[in-house]
Amino acid sequence: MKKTAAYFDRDFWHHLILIIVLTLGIILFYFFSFSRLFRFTIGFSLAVFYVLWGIIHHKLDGDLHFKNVVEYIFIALLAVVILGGMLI
Amino acid sequence: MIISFFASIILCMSVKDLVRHFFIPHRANNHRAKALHPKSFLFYILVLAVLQLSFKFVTLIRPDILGIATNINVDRLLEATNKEREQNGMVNLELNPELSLAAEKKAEDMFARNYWAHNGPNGSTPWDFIKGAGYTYIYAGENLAKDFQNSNDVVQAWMKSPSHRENILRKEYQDIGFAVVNGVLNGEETTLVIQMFGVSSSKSVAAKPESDKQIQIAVKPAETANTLGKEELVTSKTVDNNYALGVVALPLFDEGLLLRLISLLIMGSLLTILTIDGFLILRRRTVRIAGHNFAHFIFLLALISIVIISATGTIL
Repeated sequence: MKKTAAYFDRDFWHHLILIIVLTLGIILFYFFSFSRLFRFTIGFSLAVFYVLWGIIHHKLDGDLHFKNVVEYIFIALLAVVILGGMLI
Repeated sequence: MIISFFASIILCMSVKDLVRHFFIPHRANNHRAKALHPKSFLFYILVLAVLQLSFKFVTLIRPDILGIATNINVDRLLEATNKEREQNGMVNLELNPELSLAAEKKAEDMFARNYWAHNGPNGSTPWDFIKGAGYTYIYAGENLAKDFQNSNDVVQAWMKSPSHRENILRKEYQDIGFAVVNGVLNGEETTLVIQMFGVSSSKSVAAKPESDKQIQIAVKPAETANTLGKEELVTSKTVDNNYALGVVALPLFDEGLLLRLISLLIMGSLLTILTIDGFLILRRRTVRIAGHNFAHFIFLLALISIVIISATGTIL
């Protein structure tokens, strides 16, 4: 029971960090409207952060598998392709 | 390989099984909706990449069919600006050729010197362009916009910003000038909209001059008019000379809009599938090896916000 509470507690903080970083990214994206290159760089950085977040989160949870890493990489890649199509 | 993989699945299943396989987690799809498997994500990425490349190709060879839609013209900008003033009890502004010339020169200078600001890198101010065009002002102001697709959106964006709104609704102004110019700014194809306001010293003004505001778009008290030196007004080679009418490009399909819609459709579908998948897994208490649906949900939501933000132009 204690372990479950600690797990949820850690999960909460991990997701909170993710939400804060993504929100900051959106704010930066909004303010860097003068340059598409800056905007793409922000989007790309968020995608890289997301992959790293996924790896660290699953590692700490003890369920890091190659399949998980590939899933996070593909979702990040989807984001990069979408942004690239609009901004480049 | 991926396409043949999906084709073999589709050919071997009934519609009901197919829906279940792609959207509902169960034993046959390893307790994860097939639409959320890494191979499926790779499929979406490839489809999007091929679509984007095809769009770019069609845009190059047939810009009349697929291209960037822009419909900004001076008449509509003037009409929309005066409509806002009328609604707020202000008198209509008159289109002034000297202020329009000043706006044109400002746009040329922005493209030639490659800046997006009220003041140029050489220290030039909007007031220099206004005086350079031969307009002697008591009050003057400037609003800038770029990357908008139609006239109404430009004026509405200005009206949503308190400082730009203040400029549009300033009671002292009597004249207005516009320039709508296509060019390359920071290496990007851009449509600039310059809006310049003023009241000439030759016209009677009831209100007393206010203190000198430092905000670039705000009014400035009268100064003795002097013309700009020739070196201040560099003519850009990247500028199309169609300021008087505006910039109108109306392809059959708007490339940006089409790409955004397709991207939003894919992301919206993924959000729905993630929600269904997450709900069923939580209810069944299934233990599986997969990424976190909630994290993917948050990330896709952020991506949707970014796509929506990138669709709007910028004001200054």
